[in-house]
Amino acid sequence: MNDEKLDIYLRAYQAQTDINPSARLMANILAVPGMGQAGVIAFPWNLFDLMMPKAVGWALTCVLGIYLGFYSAEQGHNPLDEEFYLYDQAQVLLSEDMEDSF
Amino acid sequence: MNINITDEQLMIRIGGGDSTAYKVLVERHLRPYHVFATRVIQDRAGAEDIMQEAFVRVWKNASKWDQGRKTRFTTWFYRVVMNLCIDAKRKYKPAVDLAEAYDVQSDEIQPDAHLSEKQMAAEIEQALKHLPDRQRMAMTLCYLQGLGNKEAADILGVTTSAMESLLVRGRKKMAELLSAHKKAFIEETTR
Repeated sequence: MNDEKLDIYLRAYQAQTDINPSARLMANILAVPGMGQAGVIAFPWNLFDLMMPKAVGWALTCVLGIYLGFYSAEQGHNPLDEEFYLYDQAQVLLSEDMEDSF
Repeated sequence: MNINITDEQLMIRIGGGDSTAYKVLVERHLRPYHVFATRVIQDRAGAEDIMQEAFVRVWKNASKWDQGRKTRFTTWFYRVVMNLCIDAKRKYKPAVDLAEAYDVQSDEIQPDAHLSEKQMAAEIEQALKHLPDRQRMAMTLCYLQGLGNKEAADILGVTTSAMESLLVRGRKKMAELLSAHKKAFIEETTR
């Protein structure tokens, strides 16, 4: 095959494959930075992706809060607290005594 | 937005989170690069996936775009799309053969003068499949995308003379493949 004929074939292939991209493709590509407002409006399911990390974060915080709440309620009276109170009081009295001696 | 703004300036704006600049860049370049990807991997659905991935890379890498960078956006983006095409070609198998897509009747033998554009395109497509990767890229960039030898050489990362050599060998091989295909065709019909 000579060069001239090859060029004709190449031009035919060029013309046949010169196809416009679909509108769906354009919309998908433009939605890439659309993790913002426009993306959510155009593609509501993006909202799910957007909210997911926050939702997981809040859920873990709530579970931890509830667990600590119930756990501390079950503790009841701790005798150790009393001892620390007395130790605290003794320190106050001691410091007062020391101030008096100066 | 000013339509005279260069691609490189748009990249800097995109790096700053400007989605309007991104839209302008997509509208400017989607068509030629989508055509390029379709020609290289010969599968429209695959080419669409590649373009989506390529523009995700534009969005992600725009913040790293250096104002003093010597590479043009088009050269960089051709490299991105070309590399994605090479990866895709390893994974994908075209869903529809181009000859089938064009509804070409392979048993209809016609002399050259009466070959339709679709048939010629299908023959070129078959011939391109048999070219080595670099020759196919060189042929696609220069003869189908209409780029100059210098820009195509930059994209492939070769010297201009190496590019010319790739084109000469690519044309020769393609002409041989087309001639062999035609010869086989004629022999089959005269039997």
